[in-house]
Amino acid sequence: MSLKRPIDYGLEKLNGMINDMIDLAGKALEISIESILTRTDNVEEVRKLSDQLMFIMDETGELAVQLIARFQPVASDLREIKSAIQVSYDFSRIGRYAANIAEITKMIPEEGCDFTSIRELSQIVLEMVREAGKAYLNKDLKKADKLRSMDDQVDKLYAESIKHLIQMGGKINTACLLSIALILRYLERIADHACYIADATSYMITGRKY
Amino acid sequence: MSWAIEVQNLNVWYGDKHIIKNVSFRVPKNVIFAIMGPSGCGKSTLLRAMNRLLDLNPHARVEGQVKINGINVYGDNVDVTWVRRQFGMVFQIPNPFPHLSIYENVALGPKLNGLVKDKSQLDELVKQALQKAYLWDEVKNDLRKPASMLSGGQQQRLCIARALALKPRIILMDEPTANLDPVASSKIEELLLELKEDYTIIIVTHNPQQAARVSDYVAFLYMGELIEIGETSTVFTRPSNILTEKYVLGRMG
Repeated sequence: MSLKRPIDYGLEKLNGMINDMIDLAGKALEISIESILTRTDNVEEVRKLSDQLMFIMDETGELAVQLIARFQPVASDLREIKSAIQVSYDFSRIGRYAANIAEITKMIPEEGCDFTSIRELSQIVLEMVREAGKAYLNKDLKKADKLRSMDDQVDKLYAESIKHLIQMGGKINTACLLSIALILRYLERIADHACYIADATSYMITGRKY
Repeated sequence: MSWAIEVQNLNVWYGDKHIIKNVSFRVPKNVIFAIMGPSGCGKSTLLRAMNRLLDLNPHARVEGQVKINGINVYGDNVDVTWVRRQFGMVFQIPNPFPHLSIYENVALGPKLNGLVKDKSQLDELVKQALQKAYLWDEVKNDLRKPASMLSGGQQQRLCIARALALKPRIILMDEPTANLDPVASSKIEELLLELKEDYTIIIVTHNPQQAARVSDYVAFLYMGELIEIGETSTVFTRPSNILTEKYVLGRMG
């Protein structure tokens, strides 16, 4: 067992912060989806999680700058720090989109909305967020690859669902239609950010651009 | 592409100890080429093999080729004095002639080698060399004073001026800042970046951060073997060999 280098203490702290962000972002998304599907207004709770994510993102950036200034990191150390800055932004965006989704709850009419597409898409997207976190923390290149193919699946499902909504235009409640369209859009954006996390993970491991 | 120096299958032994193991690389002109590696990896030996300084060591045996402008310095009819003249060399501990004046330290080489016709030409050459070494402004009023009155950093720049006065093609530097404080070290590093306009510089360093700061290309030497060579920006962002990675991360040993 070799001694820890001075920079290792900082890198561990950075990873701890990302770990917290993974939990918070997953929780925010889960609650916001539940908020929609059960029409319970949880927006304050999700906003709080989103604010926490923004706060940790700032802290992450601050620590990253300190580590660069103090240790002049190179090679995998440097790539890890760059990736941490990137993924902390992605997780904070996921938190914002989750809050946006929760905010839609009050727009939804009492009855008559079919959330099948949201149910389906949100399941994949939630899994993507969790898997992105695991891929990053475990430096798992295979998992990062898998996330990119999951994103293709999301894009396809999103396109089909929107097409369906257009066909339903005039046949269903406008508030319903708009709510579903917006939520689908936010979910698709969240999947993109999970994919960016996968890209940052792959870069951190290999040094190549994805 | 024409190369400043080409090293091919170079092997060096001290007695029966194999120090440099089949090393090959090429250095483009007008670049700073750093050789980095842990203590005892053979960096200084590799440098001394280039200008045949190892000839002076009776226990050293060299095989392979070192080519400057296509000429193998170990070739049969090659004059060792000509070889040494192609290189300027700067060492870890500043080694000016302490009792000679600042002026004489620079003037001695050109005088001994008959590079100048008269006093005014010599004055001009000394001035140019001191200017190129960014020392002129600090010493122009003290040219007749002994070199030993200078600070360590100034002495090292005087050694660089002394090397430049002989108009070499390549400057070899063996840990040139190892004995200097950070401010004097930065001055030397700034100077290197200026000098590469006119010369090719090969610098040995056991400080990977210094290689990262100043070099264009870097080679990593470990236990006499050339482990990795490449553009500095690549080697310090994504080294291709795990040993290089460990070394630049400070995880080695």
